[in-house]
Amino acid sequence: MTKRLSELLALHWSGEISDEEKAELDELLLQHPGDWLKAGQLEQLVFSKVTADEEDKVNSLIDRVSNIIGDENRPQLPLMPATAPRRFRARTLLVALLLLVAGGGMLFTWLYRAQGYKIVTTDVGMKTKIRLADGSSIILNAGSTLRYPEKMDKGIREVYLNGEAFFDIKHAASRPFIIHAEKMDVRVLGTSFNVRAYKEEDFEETAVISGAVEMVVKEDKQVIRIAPNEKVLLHKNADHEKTKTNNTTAATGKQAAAIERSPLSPISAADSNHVLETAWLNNQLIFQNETLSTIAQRLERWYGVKIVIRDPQLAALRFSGRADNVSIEKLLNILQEIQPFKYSVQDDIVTIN
Amino acid sequence: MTRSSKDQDYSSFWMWGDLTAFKEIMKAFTASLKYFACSIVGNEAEAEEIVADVFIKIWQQREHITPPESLQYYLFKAVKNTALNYLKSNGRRSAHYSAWEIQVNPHRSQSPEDILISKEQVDQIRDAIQSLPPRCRQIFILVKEEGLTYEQVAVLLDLSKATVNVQMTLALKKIWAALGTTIKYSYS
Repeated sequence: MTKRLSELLALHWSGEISDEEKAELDELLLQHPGDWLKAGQLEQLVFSKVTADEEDKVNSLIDRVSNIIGDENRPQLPLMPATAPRRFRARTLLVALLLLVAGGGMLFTWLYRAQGYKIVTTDVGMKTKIRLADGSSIILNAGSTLRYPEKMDKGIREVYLNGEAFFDIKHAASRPFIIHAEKMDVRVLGTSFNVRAYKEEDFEETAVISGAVEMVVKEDKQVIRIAPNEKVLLHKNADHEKTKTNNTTAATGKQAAAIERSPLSPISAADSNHVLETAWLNNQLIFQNETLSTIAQRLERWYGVKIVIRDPQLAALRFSGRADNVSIEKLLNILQEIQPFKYSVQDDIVTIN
Repeated sequence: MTRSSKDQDYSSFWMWGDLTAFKEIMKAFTASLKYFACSIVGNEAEAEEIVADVFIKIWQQREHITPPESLQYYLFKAVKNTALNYLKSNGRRSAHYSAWEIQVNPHRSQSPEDILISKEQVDQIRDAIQSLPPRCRQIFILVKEEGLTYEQVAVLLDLSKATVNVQMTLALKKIWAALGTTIKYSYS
């Protein structure tokens, strides 16, 4: 046997061979039928460690570990969602929706069918609730689109989201529910959580109210588990920074910058059931240290207006505050009191300067 | 090329902290991990302790661990770190112990095209493997039995990928020689 043949055979044998090397090996074996036959024998060999009483030992180790972790296991299993506050929230939302539908001339939802999919789109300034055949419900925030199959697959439940939605997914252990967004997939078996993935925003976010959720970053297939009362924010322009700082920063630092994990933000210290991330369900507009330009994006969706900020310095100003069901003029007046600026409204265009 | 990798879908453990799934994981990996731990600390009782520790820690931390791409490799690395910490706290050095004997068997599902391997050949191959240096034998087990890649084995044993390659080539040559030079009946 030549040196090259043994090298190639070892690589093949270990599953490390490349396509080119495999072609070279095949060529060599073709020339030497004796080696070819022996290579065939080699393939048939199975190797294993000698394990005499191993199975008993393995079982006793498993029992020992199970006993230690078993005590902690019991209260852990059923993660009951906090139903009472949510039911209340759903009812207020329904009232709000009825009011919106009754009073809103410019608001509409549309629904059409395409290639076996239903597509629900909410216009600016409105929300809508979708019920799926499996009992799950989805509330779609303003300016969002949800696409889902008319007939859900038996093995897997999949929907596509652009925008923001609150999901309350019926548990079905054998049928994972997957939400496809632009940069991430969110996988669950059954739970309630909020997904925010607007194309025009520079991040995508998953906030979990109850149950366990997995977020898969599409780019690098990284899987991130999100616990209840936790959210994970994925910065879209991370690629950007990556190419810019590629030569200087360590790889780990970059990853940490692209993905941000934090607890959900309670609206007030007294009320831990209501969090900022799902405040939109109650028609509450809440800002926590957000720049005027990001607030403007939200107001555009919320009120169905176009907002132009002429002064970049103003656009970078940060605001915190809360508004429940107020007109946009009222809201802008409140913001003016925090930080002085001028604005004018013409038709549906608000100009800030 | 088929690998004997034991990595399956254990997502129900990671997603739901499913104890049954965790027991499956322990069943699948305990023997291999114990062997590996033993090669570092040098005795079976301590190796068992280390493997149990690793499993307990993973169970307790499951909510905070990002599910690894290869659970098998993840477990091996965890065992390595735990074993090294263990040695360090005891002021000992790695033992490089690997007394395990390796079994050789022809495939169970013999197909008509397969060339028969004689009992003598099997015995000779077993002897050949036993005569390999301990390090080589360990690499051999990690690659051939566990189905780990050269890269993974290199990291686990603090070797270069090239060394793993050299050792595997050495093992192959020994077994090749043990297979003998002639296959008489194949031409008849």
